[in-house]
Amino acid sequence: MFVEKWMTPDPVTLSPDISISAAAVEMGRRKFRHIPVAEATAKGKKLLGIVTKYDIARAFPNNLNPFSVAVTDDTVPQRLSTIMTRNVVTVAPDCAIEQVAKILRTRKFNALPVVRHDCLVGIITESDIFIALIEMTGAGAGGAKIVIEADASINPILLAVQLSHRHQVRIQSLLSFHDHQLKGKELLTLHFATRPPADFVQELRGFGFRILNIV
Amino acid sequence: MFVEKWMTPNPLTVQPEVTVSYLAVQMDRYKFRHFPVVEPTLTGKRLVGIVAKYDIARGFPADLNPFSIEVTEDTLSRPISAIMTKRVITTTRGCPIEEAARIIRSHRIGALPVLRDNRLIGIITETDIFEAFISMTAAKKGGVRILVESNVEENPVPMVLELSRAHQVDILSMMHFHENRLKGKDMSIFRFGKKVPAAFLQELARQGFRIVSVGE
Repeated sequence: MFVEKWMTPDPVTLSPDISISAAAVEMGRRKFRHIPVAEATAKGKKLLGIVTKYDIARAFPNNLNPFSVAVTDDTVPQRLSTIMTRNVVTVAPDCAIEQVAKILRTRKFNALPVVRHDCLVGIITESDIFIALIEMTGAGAGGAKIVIEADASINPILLAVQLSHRHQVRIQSLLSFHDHQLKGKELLTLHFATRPPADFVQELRGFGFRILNIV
Repeated sequence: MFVEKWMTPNPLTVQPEVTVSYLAVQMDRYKFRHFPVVEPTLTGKRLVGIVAKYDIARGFPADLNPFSIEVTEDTLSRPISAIMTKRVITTTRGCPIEEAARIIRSHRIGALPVLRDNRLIGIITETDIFEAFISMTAAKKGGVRILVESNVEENPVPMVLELSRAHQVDILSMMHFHENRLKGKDMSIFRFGKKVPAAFLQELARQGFRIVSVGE
């Protein structure tokens, strides 16, 4: 649930001294959209900056489409250090994953380098957060999922968990959701390894739960 | 929890005859990275394709860099029907948001048009799913986040609910899930409205739940 678990450790980095087109070649080859720029030190890699695919595309001359020409290392000879973003926002490995989601969203970034004791130890991207979300919500894990709406006042989560204990159906994941738009209602997603028995579902209804969806 | 809550309804669209550079200008103006391509019908918009920002760049000739020139609507006369993706992966408004996330991720795309009765009613993008995730975890509301590890047979949720009531701390969000990489363990993340008293945590630990972290 922390960055460290979801990041790409020891990410590929580029030297600030390579040419812009060499960076383009490297990014195209690896299908990356951002690469940290770093230099090696005795303690580890020191982060100097970050470049995105767009930074590189914008640095190409007017008469060269970076997406369609056969780019070679010396097509655009200026050094990468001339276009990289220098004051990079970074996170620590023990930052909560949803906190990173918030930073990426509010600052409109797609990736954040992960730094520990001044050394680059990883990179965390939008894709990693997607994977975290998918795993945390049990999407794609198979099994059965029930989405319930109920009055928050009857404590629907407690009732649902107790009921699943009684029926010995194991909840694989549980997500509760309430916001001001729901006006005293709570939405609950319960994810089970196998389809829960009909009498379990019946009892849920008996509590006054509205079952929105069973997948 | 469903796509309908998070999608952009009635998104901006273009028709297949418009030029690549016209769309480039529109994308730049609205800062959108995806545009559905539609044909109007009496019953609504029929989806015929989708164009992503990178498709536009690839639609430019080799001797024109769309990122460094001033693109105007008539820089290129090529129609977008020549570069759009025609076999579009779509979703419906009743699809759970996490399922939409899974589809986006597994196809490595950035957005899903939302259809109803074969007509376009919305679009859901990576950004919308980010918003949903942030909202689900109440990450913007501050408070205190507690991460708990438990054995699969012992769900900590009832105990935490009970303790939060006894100590009068609001739960802003909770997620409980099976941790594939830690065999036989479950993880739960609780976000509380304010600092949780030490007695709360001690009681939880006494019941055998491992408190992995307490933080913001």
